[in-house]
Formats: sequence, C-alpha cells, structure tokens
Amino acid sequence: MAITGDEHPESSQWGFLNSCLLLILVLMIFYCSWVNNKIVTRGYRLSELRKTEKHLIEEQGKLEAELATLKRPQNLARLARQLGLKEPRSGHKIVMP
Amino acid sequence: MKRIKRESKKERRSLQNRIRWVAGLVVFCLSAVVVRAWYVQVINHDHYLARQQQQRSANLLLTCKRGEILAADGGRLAVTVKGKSLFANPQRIKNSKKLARVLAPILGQQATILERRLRSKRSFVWLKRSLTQSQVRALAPWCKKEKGLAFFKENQRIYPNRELAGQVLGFTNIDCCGQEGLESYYDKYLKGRQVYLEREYDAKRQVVDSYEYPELDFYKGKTVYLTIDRHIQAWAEAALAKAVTGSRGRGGVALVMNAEDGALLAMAQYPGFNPNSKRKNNPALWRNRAAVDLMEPGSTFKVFTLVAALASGRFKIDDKVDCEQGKYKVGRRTIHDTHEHGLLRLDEVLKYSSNIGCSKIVEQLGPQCFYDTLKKFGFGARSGIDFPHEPSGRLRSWRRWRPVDLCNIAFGQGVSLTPVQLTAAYAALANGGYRVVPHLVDKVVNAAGWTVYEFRHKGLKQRVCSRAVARQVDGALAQVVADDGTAPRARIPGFRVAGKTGTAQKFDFKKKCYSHNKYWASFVGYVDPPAGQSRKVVYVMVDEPKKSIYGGMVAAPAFRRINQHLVSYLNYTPDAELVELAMPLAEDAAGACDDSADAFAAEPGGGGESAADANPAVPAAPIVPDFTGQTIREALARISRYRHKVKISGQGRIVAQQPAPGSRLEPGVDFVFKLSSEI
Repeated sequence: MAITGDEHPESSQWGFLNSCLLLILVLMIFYCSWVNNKIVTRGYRLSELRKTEKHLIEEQGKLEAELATLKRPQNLARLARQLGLKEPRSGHKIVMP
Repeated sequence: MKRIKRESKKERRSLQNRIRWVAGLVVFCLSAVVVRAWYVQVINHDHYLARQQQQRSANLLLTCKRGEILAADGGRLAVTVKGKSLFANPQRIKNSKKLARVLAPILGQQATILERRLRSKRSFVWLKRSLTQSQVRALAPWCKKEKGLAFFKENQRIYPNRELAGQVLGFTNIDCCGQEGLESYYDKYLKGRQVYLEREYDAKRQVVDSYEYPELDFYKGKTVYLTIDRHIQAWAEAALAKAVTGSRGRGGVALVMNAEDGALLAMAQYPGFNPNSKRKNNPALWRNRAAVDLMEPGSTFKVFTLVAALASGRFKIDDKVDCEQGKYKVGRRTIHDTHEHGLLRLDEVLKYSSNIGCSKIVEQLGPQCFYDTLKKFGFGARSGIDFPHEPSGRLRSWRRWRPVDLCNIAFGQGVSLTPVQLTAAYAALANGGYRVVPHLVDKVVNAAGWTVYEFRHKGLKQRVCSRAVARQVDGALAQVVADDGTAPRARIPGFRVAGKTGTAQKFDFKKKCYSHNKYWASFVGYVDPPAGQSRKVVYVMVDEPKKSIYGGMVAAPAFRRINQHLVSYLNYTPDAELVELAMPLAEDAAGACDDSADAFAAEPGGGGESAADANPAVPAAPIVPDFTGQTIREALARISRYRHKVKISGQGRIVAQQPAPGSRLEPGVDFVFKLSSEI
C-alpha cells in the first residue's frame, strides 16, 4: 500500500535540509581528522628528516675535521718526503706571468 | 477509508513527536557541548591551555655550536663536532659492581671509582665526557643492554692541526668555554648562544616537529679568521725545533710579522703543545711565551740606540765613536766588548755589536732623549696584541736611571719586553717609521656572512721615526749579515737581508746578578721583498742554548731557514745582482750549530757578539771548473761552498765565465757568468 499525494511538502524539505547539514558535518569532521592526521604524519616524517639532516651535518663536521688533520702542513710534508719530493728553495720556483 | 486516514494521521503525529524528541535531545546535547566548550575555552581557558602545553610540548635548552677558528690560508685550526659522553641512572642499574668492572678498562678509569658513582643515590651521573670513537664503539652494546646506561651528545672542541700554533689557539673546557689563548680572548664571539627550543610530543612522547623550526645556525658562534698562515707557522715551528734541539736549548720562540700592519703570520714556540690532549701536557707549556713572557732583548736593542742618535740630529751615520779598545769604565763598573775596537762609525757599532759604542752614544744623547725615543717605539707598555695576559714591558723612568743604567739599557740590559713587543718595534723600522699594533685576528664573521669585527690599524698614523732615519738604520742592519758582521749565517742568496743578533744574559734571581751560563740567543730581521710587497719581520729566540750561546750562531740559521721558505712561498724573485753565495748552514754538517762554534771563545759577560767567531774557516783556493753549458742553478750548486759573490747577466745557459776554467779561485774574486739569451 502506497501513501501518496498527501505528504506535507515543508516536512520533506526540512528532512532534506537536515540530511544535507548532517552530511556537511560528517564531511567536515572527516576533513578535519584527515588534515590533522596528515599534519601529524608529516610531523613524524619531518622529525625523521631533521634527525637525518642533523646526523649528516654532524658527520660532515667530523669528516671536515679529519680532512683538516690529514691536510695539515706537517702531514703533507711527511708524505711528500716519502714520495721523494723536496721542498723548493729560493730560485727553484718560477712564477709564470 | 476514513479509518485508514485517521491511523495515518496518528502515525504521522507520533513520528513528528519522536522527531521532536530526538531533535530536542540533540539540541540539548549540543547545548551541553557548547556550554562545556564555553567553560573550557572561555572561562577556564588559561588553565587548560597551560595543561595542554605541559602535556604536549617541552622546552629544550640547546647550546649552539662554538664558532670555528680559521687560518689565513683557509685551513681549519679549531672546529666543533658532536661528540658523545656517557652517563648513567644509578637507580636503574642492577649490578653496579659487575658493570663497573666491565666499563673501567674501556673508560680508562678505576673500577672502584666507577662503582662508587654507579651506587650513587642520584638519578643522573656522568661516567665519562667526550668519548673517543673507539670508546663509543666498545660501549654501544652495553648501552643497549643496560637500561641505566646511555650516551649523551654534546659539542666537542677539536684542533685538527694538533700542535700547530697550540699555544696561540689555547683551548676550551669540557663545556666549550674558552680557557686559554685566543679561545679565551675571543670567547664572546666564538661561543654559541643558548636557545630554548619548544618541541611537541605525541601521546607516546615521540617528537612531532612543526614547520616553525628555528634557524639554529643564526645562534651559533662566529667564525674567527686569523692572520696566522698554517704553512708559515709550520716552517717556523720546524726551523725553531731544529735550532733548539741542535743547540740543546731549553726552548724557543719564533715570530713572523707583516711589517706594514703588524699581522702575525706565525707565532711558533718550542716545545709545542697539543690542545687536544691538554691534560697530558705540563701546564707550563700552555703559556704563549712570545706574548706573555718578559725577557731582556740584549744586543737586538742596540738598533734603538742608533735610532735615538740619528733622530736626535746630534749624530750622523758617518760619525765615529771611540770604542776604547774593548774596556770602558762607567762609575765603578767596567763595560766590555767581545773584541777590541778603536774608532767605529755608527753603523759599524751595530755591525760589530759594540757595547761601548752604544754606551758612549747614549751618554752624549742624555737619558731623557733616549727614553723618549724608546717610549715612541712602545717600550715599557703593552703592544695591544689581541691575546690575553700581555704584560707591559719594563722600562723605568729616565729620572731613576743611574749612569750605568743608561749604558746598560743602550745595549739591551735592564729593560725587559716580550718577543712580540720587540718584533713590533722592528716592524716599525722595517715599514719606514710607523708604529704597528701586533695582532692575530683579522676579522670575525657571523653565520650570515657579515663581518662583525675587523682589525683596524690604529697605529698607522703614528710615526716613531722619520723615513730617512729608518732607511739609515736599515742600511746599518744590512751590514750585520756581511762576512765580517755578527750574522753571516742569516744571509740568503739572491736577497738583501737586514737584521740584528742578540745574546742576552739571563738574570739569576737567586744570586741577584746576571748569570754567566744562561743566555737568550736571538736574531731579528727581514728580507727585502720585491716592489709592492711589505717586509716580513722574522724573530727567532733560543732560550739557554748550550752548544753555542750566540744569536748569530744559534738563531740566525733558523731565521734563514724560515725566510728561505718564506721567499719561495711569497714568490719573491731573487735579484740577479744580489746573488751571493751564502755560507753553508750548519745543518748540512751536523745539527743547527757546528762544533766550531764552541771554539769561538768570547767573554760571556758583555752580552756582545763575536763577529770573527761567527765565521768558519775558508777552505783553500781550489781550481775553477768549467761551467759552460750548465744552468745557473747547477753552477750555483757546485760553487755553493765558497763564499764568493756571483754576478749574472742574460738568461738561459752559461756561455762564458770569469774566472776562467782551470785557474785558481783566489779569495775575494767574484764569479761572473754570462748566459745565453735563449730560454
């Protein structure tokens, strides 16, 4: 048995409006949680990347210090002597114009 | 039909009622939420905000990285790296005795001391700070195993060049605060600022970073650029070490200063010290003797007597002084010269380093005139070097000088100064008469690349003597390295060298008189650079040399070695007209001082130099070889052991020579080489 023709048009509009509002509310809640979740996930990722960056900078600092130790003049002179090189005296060096 | 309609109406009413109830309930709930939100967000806003902050975030105190110290050539002299330290929470350690036994050999500490720390009632104790890489590797498994044991990352100061300029750089303490040397003097620029960093945490206390992360580089310490050049410093240290060990000295100092602006290119000291392992060294070695130790200059001071004489206008360089044949009485005391001299010109007084000549000059000048000249050069005051604890030199007021004091000061006794002060005074003579402020730091640059401090030469306008006087004194200093001067060993082939030797007696504070076996042997001078470059004043001092005591024998060879590197490094071109064969260095035979030096008997009391003694015996006249077709370098290498002057004309290989091949090489004859014009 179908009931037709005598439904109140105002109440159906009101129900539709309610449903729309509810849908918007649900969508907003979903959107807010999604954004929040994204922020937190990105935050973790950012934190990891910063940790890696910090570690790499520290490593770079250590390597630069090691390079400076290896390139210290006494070390270079010792290695040069081992390779049979001699320090130039005055007049040995020719400066090209 | 009517019944159906009635029932339908009834159902609709009941549905509407239910909807009203539900809507009413929803409205009520929402109102409750709104009321609660109002209460939380508006009425109790501050309270809940504080609670939220407390739970989600924490403020971390970060000490930003200490700035670097760079050499003039760009080399890193002091850097900060992240190191690891070991700490423990004794409350969480179960078997402290066993753990202490395991950790003791790794940390190099006593097991009992470690155990006492591990039994502490506190919740945080340091076990070892600034661990080495091998220690970190060995401890890593234990940190994973033991819950109460962990690493803590913190800044660690490293000096990659080890002993190089150790005393100049100084060091920091474990918390990276400057304690000695430049680390202490420039601490305000070098130290990193402490900043609070707010970090957010989740429920599991994991860090959730926000995008608003502070730029920590902005807070780190500034970079300090030194005037010290690593290569020149290394050569100065090597030459000094050779001079000190060769003469069996107690220690020594070598300085290289740019005469134009007072920038120190090298500040060497022997024995050196490694700031990386400062605790292993004797604390006496931490002191930078060149900047903080006072010493009597001895004969190197005579040059200022000459300046005072010439600047007064009462003397000319050609004027003669009677040197009384080596003995001169002043009051009850007798002043001696190492050699007997009669009439000497003013430049010869310097050349032969006559104590009597200097005494007679200042007697005629008077104390006030002499004192005024010395004050102009900055003696008796601080030089203004950017290094901590510089003492002002000792120069008493002329009103308190007795006649014998006046004479003593004229030849460098009774006045004390630091090596830096003496070198700065020589720099003033070398640059034509302008006073310089010695300095070690060129500029300080922040993380953004802005220069926050730059050395500005304040003394450049202050003239201490006229250019004419400086030129005349320069001529006199050049004679000191002549064959019959006190320092022929300072000569460098192809370059004009000027300088002065010094052999100063040390004062024995126990006996309250000058010692007869303890001396400072020194040499200070410079090499003439090509046009457009400034002179570099080189000072070498050996403390208590045993093998020979004379500056010309002990310090002059080191001066020469440093300058040989310097002229090559700074691209000085040798002057063909000035190519003169230098005396072979003692290092070619044995050590820095040969035994012949000891045979040169001299009176040790006077502090003067023995000119003739500094010259080794000339070998017998040999046959001149044929140099035709050889390069000038090959020819110089072959004849380098004879002290003959060489004149060269042309370029390329030798096509003609004088003396002729096969003839006897007579003393005093110059070699003349004509070279082909081809290259």
